[in-house]
Amino acid sequence: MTETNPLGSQLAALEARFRQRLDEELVTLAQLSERLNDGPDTLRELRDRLHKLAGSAGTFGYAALGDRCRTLEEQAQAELDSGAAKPDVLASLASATGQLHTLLQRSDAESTSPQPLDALSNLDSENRHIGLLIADRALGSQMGQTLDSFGY
Amino acid sequence: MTGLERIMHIEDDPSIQEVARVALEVVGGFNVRSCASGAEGVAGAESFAPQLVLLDVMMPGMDGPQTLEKLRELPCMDGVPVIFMTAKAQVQEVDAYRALGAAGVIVKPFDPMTLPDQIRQIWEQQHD
Repeated sequence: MTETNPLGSQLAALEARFRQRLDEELVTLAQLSERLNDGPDTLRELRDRLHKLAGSAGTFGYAALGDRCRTLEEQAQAELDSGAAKPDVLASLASATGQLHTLLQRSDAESTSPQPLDALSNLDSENRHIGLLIADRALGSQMGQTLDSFGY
Repeated sequence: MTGLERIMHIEDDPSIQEVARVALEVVGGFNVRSCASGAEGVAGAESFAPQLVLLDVMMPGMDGPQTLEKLRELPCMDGVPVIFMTAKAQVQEVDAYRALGAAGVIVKPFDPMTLPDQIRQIWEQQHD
């Protein structure tokens, strides 16, 4: 006799719904990232959406994506705090945001079935983390981008 | 000490709202009222009479701290612990949330399977 697991099937359904929303959200983020030169309101919206995704992606097992969103959220915040966003930093932020979908596709390619909610992503290259403890936010943000470009 | 039964969860992200609801109802056995905004939470507080509120920090319109302020104005919310949920939880931020009157802070991402226990621990600390 086959046993049913109501909790498991409910969580699986939630994961599937999250994945649908995630695809749509990444499109929205990519579109927003192309308009960062419009002004601080767009950057603020991008920061808020990245913040939300940083929390939800990790909860649904997309740990690497959640971590990347968190890093980008902090970069966006640093630019908002600076009062005068720098075009090169905005361009770098836009590029990194546009690559979130690629990160998700790579995650999909390495996982043939939906990941359990509490599982961490096994993307080796995405799990190489360096913590930066730097009082100067602008310098920290710049170093973060440099390390990011080297795959950390 | 009265047992914890009714939890109001205020969260604008539908994915987080859904997974927290399943975790709290199915795993934790709680009676949960989900609200998609601070305003909805404030409006529904009197009729639901939550024993504990789980409150997202960053929401459009009324954010978590503003919602907490409004909830505190309601007589029915007197002494009801409020737990903030946030994806941003550096030490100074957690301290700031506590200074606002939060009973605790739960960090996102969270593990749905252990969320009810986290909440029970904070509830018990409040009622020791």
